[in-house]
Amino acid sequence: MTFWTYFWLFVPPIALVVIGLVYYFVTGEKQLS
Amino acid sequence: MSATLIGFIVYLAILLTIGFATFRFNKTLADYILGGRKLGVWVVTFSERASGESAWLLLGLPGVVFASGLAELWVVIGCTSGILFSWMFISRKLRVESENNYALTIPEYLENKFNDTTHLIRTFGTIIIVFFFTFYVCAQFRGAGKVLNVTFGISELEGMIIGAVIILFYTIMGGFRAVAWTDFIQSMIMLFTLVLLPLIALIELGGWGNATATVMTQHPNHLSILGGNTGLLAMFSIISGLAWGFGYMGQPHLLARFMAIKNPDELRKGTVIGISWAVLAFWGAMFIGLFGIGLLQTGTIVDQEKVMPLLANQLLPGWLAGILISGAIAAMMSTADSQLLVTTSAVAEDIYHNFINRKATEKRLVTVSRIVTFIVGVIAFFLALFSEKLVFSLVAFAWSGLGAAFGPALLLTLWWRKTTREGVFAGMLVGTVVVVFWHFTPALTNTLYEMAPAYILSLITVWLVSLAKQKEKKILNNG
Repeated sequence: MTFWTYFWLFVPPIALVVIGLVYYFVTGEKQLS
Repeated sequence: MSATLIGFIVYLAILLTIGFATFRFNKTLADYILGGRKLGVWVVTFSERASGESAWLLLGLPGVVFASGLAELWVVIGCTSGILFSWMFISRKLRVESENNYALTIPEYLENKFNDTTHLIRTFGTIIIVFFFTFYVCAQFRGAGKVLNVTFGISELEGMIIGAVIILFYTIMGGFRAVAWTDFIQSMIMLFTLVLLPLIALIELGGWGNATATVMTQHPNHLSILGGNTGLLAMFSIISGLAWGFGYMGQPHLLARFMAIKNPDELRKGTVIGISWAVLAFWGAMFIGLFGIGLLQTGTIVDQEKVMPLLANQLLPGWLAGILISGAIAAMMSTADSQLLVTTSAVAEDIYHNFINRKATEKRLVTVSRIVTFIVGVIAFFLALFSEKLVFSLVAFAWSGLGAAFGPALLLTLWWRKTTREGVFAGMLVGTVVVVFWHFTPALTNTLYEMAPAYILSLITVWLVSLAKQKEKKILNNG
């Protein structure tokens, strides 16, 4: 398997969870209007 | 009686008990359709995930990976990105706005938001829901037939009957609350299956190096993320895969979960739980298909969508295989019940309550809902009897129809103040027409998944028609 196969196979899942966590901490508790 | 069968019967008994236990909670239509907007974050998130991923994830996706290899990775990346986007940008805003606009369903929300006195959006939205969900529920019944056929050796028809009867029973009895709680349990079983089975398969194959080497010797192209395609074909296959992700923001049965949470702020926590679940489950499903190539005799498999139950039976002791295969039944049931309920809500609230009997009492509405659930279930069952299509392809059609009709309209309604009633209606119409036309034109659908063109054209339509209408209003006001 090539480098790019490994890259697309394993980087997106980690990136998605990290984005989810960043969103959780950045948004904070606030009421939407 | 085998250990597999005992495990499966215990599991079904739990589902039926939940149906009985939640029966008395359904006093109003809001209770039946949205659980009275009183659910906690774990139940809502696990229920959204279980409803979102059906027999398609447990049977369909491992099946296509088994048949075509890692080229399907783009579907996995597209879907998980779509899940994250929907949780981040749709869930909280929709929960707050739907309550502010006194809406229990998506068509009702769109109508109330734009003060649509012509009822065009709501009526058309209801037709879209009933049409596409009938195919979707039908796919789940077919999934039940396949799994029970492999597990217990009964015919696919008997399997479909058992699945359909159980789902209809607890959905009619318990409404949303029963569906959400059974989803919660089913969601855990699905995750357990999708994480455990590929791990055991990997160990059986002797680790990653051996696993990939075995796949390579059988099908060299199956380890290529482009499936051996180059140029335009490769690009179309990537776009088709990623386009699956557009579907999430337009699925009424998933959006209903966002609307049912008690505290909208908890949807932030739901985002993290939801995406973690999705990543584990989707990558797990893909690896089941991939390792299946190494472990099963590819030439002897007649139906690629039986890879998951066949692998479980081959690798595990009977009782454990029973639990894991229950995961597929769980996936099927948790999706079918939610979809039946959304179709029911569309007919009971958007048509019966709105057009036929405006003065109906809450008790009568709940009764009408139960009757509608039964009728829709029976129609989907008969459709399943005569449909020869794969679960994967039935779901692909319904998924793109709902995603392209509601997705762009909802996204812009929530986030762009200039969206108009006319723009939303035109976008829904264009999304639906393009999906149906594209899907039934083999030359087109074999090249590019209908979701991509339909979603983009629908989005552009909502935007352009809204802009034109705004301009018209400005001229009228100034003149």
